Amino acid sequence: MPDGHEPGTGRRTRLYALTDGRTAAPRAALTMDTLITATPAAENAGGLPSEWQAILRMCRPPQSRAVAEIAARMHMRLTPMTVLLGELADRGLIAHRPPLEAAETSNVNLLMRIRDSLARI
Amino acid sequence: MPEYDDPAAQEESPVKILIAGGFGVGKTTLVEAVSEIQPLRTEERLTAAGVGVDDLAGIESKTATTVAMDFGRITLRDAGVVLYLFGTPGQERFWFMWDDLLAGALGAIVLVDTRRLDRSFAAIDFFENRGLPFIVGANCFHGEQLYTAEEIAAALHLSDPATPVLMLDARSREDVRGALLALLDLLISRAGANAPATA
Repeated sequence: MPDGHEPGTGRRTRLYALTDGRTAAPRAALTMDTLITATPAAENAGGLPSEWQAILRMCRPPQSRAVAEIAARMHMRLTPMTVLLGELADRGLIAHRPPLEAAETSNVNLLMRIRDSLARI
Repeated sequence: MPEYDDPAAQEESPVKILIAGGFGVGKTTLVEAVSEIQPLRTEERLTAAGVGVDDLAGIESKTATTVAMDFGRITLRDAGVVLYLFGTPGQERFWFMWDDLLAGALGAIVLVDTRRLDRSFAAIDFFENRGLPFIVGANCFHGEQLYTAEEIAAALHLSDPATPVLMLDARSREDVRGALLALLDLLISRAGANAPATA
């Protein structure tokens, strides 16, 4: 199935199968650094596509992973992965935490906590 | 919201720092030096339709390109954040189309190779135009650096002469941590200057 559009990946992802036919952008605003965690509902959900199950497994609490990280591990590009994760969010299978907004990222107290933590790594 | 066994682990918010610089300057090496995971690669397809591109020569597909970036992560539990370090893609001309790249970024480290300073101009221009705070890290390949920080700062024509310029070895965890701390110090001083009432 080589068509030259996916350099570096051995297989071509059948996007429509993975996203359950959905192509429009999901309601949830998911960005590359949005953190994803599987919800308890994901534990009991049966009959899900294996790719969905793989994603839910890697985001099982207390583990959470950024959209970019899930995309990289699933060998998918960011936009298709965002669509797929929007579907999972709509079904209540994942929770997502957005990146901090500009007002928060310029908060001195937060920046000092980050600095102190970084000094210990 | 459902109850979780470990609420602390659920409350971390993602933040990111961008690692910029020309091809081959050591961005991924720098990320690897401090990341708690092996650096991962993510790709995005960006479309340039409707965007004025001044130089179409040599672009096989003038409407779209695939950009790739390598990234790593550092979980800072005490600070309540998961810090992602994103290496910016090499095709600088597409950065400005990618709003997600800057949204929520704390700041950036611009990695420079003093033998090829021109490869870092695009990143510096971009961050200066967008107002994203950054520091400069001069990667000392093989432990050698022929220039002083002052000489490098002058050659880069930094619009803010107070921009920190550090010598570092991108392979050294200690050096990279030092660069991250220098960036945080810059961010703290700026945030403090902008909001003295909360101090």
